[in-house]
Amino acid sequence: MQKGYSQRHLPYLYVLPLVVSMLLVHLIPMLSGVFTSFHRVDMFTIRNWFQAPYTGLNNYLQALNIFGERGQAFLNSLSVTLGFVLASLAGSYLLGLVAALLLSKDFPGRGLLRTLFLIPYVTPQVVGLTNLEFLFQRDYGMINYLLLKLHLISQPVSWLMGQWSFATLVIANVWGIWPLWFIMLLAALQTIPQELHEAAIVDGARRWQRFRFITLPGLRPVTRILFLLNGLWFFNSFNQAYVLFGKTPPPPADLLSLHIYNLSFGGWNFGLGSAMSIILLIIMLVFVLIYIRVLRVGRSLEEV
Amino acid sequence: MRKIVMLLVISALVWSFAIPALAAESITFWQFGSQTPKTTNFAKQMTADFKAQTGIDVNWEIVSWGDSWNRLTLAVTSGNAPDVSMVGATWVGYFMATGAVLNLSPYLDQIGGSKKFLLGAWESAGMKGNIIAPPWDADTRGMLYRKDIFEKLGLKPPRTWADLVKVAKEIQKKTGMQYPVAITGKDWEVVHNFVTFAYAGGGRLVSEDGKRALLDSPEVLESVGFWVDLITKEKVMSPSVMTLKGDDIAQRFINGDTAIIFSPVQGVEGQAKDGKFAYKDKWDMAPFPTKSAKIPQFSVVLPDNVMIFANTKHKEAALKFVKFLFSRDQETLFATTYAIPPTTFEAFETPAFQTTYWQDVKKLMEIGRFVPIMPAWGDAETIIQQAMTNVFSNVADNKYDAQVLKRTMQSANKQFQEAIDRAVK
Repeated sequence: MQKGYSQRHLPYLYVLPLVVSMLLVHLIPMLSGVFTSFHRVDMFTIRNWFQAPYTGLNNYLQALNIFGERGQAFLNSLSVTLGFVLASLAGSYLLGLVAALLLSKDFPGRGLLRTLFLIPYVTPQVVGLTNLEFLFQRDYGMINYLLLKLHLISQPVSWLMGQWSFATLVIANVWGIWPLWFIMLLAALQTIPQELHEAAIVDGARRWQRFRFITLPGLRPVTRILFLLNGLWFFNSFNQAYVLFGKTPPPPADLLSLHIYNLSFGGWNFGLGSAMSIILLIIMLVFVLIYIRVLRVGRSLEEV
Repeated sequence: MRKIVMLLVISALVWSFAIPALAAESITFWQFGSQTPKTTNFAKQMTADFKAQTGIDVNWEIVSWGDSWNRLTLAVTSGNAPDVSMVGATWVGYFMATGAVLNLSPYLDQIGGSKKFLLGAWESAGMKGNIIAPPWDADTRGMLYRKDIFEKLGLKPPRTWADLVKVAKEIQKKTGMQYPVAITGKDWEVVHNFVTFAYAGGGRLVSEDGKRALLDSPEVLESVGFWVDLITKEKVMSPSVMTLKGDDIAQRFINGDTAIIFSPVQGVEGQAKDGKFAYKDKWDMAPFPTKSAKIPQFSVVLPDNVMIFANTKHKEAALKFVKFLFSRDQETLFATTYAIPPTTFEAFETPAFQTTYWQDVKKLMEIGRFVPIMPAWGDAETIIQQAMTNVFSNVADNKYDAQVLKRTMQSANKQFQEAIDRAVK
């Protein structure tokens, strides 16, 4: 069938407003970020930032010079963020999977438990985090109190300062996000045809084998999306560290987005802040490209 | 029929354009604070009073403190600024450097002169003889102590650092209070406490000419060292102060969990308003203890100021408004509404401020010291906050020593110096 000119091009016309507005809100700020990263934009030049002095690759060299102060702090922040992403992904996956498996079978009170599990996810993030900050206080916090009572620790732990702050950050993040994993995995579990399990039982497959060869592959598409999306979210996490530790988090919990925010809006070093953002963007792009290629996210189960 | 409707629509359109032009002159003012009934009522009354006096309308906008820095700098960047705005005193140097703010020196008489202000607060109004932002209120920080406990044990407020440790240990021994001293190490207040310790140790944060950063000078290192020692060596301060906000610490002071705090005086007075924690009965204020008796005692006064943006289209109206804000009755109303120290002598002479508490605050304000007024101070605040967080992080991990302190402060000093050099360029 021959389609007319207008009919073939009509779809493009339909998406044009969307494309243009997407470009306006995404591309232009991004380009101005690129511009800023090559200039000395700070509190004295920002009034007229189009005329800010050109500094070439200076900002990038400063960010990547691991022997300099700024570079070292950036490197620390980058590794903290990577660790945070990996630990959070692992934590939410494990919690979500276990909870989904436990609740996939029918038993009295299942509906109630499901609702209860969702509470952290529906609690406004800042409210949850502020409460966690109280719980994690050293002297009067509930967590230290309980741990001391149970004789699991002999000294109160400084959860919000020093090396433990990293663990606190991951716990706070996982606490807020795992219900999403739980509900998604639970939904995916229910799409796995019961006949597969029945057939496997007939074939004499043990429980672990059924889990390994039926359940896990059945969950794979959802798991991949969760890992990809949440990985990206976690990479950009900001609120957790900001609410728990304030504007300047201790170095073990110095997330990149907060680090860049501090440089840009605290230290007024927009040039360096932009350069770091661009580096972050490139890292994430590489990460996403590899991820999509290797795991073929977006293709249907049959193609995998 | 249709024609009449059309005519009505058109005339309505024309009028909607014409009305604002016919309306009275109007200026925009930003007050920083939260949207509480107290603030909206205050704004309403001030606007009405000003309208009655001058016929000028004020578009009084309440901006949260959290947004204030971004809003102000956005105003500077975009040129889309209010006519008049509140500003934190520590930012005055920065806004001066941007050139976006009106130099008030030629108009000083027009807004009521400089002699009406207490010197401890006036210091923040500008630098190098240029006045840009008169102080509106004065956050006054001193050493607050539990008078009841001190009297029972026959103790005097500590004059020197050695006294402070001695007094604290005495309280520990005699009352069983585990941590008699509490000084917050969190959020922006950590910067104020840093400044307090540096001054108390006889140090400076920048050289006299404002060109050299001195955050790693021996005096500052010793001061910060003493501060940390209160936690690590002397054990009179809990490690939890590193993560507790000033308000939480004030609450502990009121609850009787600690006996000596460094805090804004009006913070404790405000939190203990129910009369059960009366001033001079339960607590008292004093200037900060210093390293030795040779260094004079002081308080730290951090005002909030008011500035006019240079590109205002209503300069005369804005000047009238500023004069209005600092007139006796309005300054008094402002200070009493928020129970915060006023900045003018006139206001302190009104009946509302004749109590012992307020007169003591005034005395404390008179020996007030301020942070250096310089364009790079905005950077310095973030740098100091980060440096202290790094120091505290090491304390929490038991990795703190003099070397760590020195390295951290050297790194902070380098960044501060960079910021100063950028400002000069």
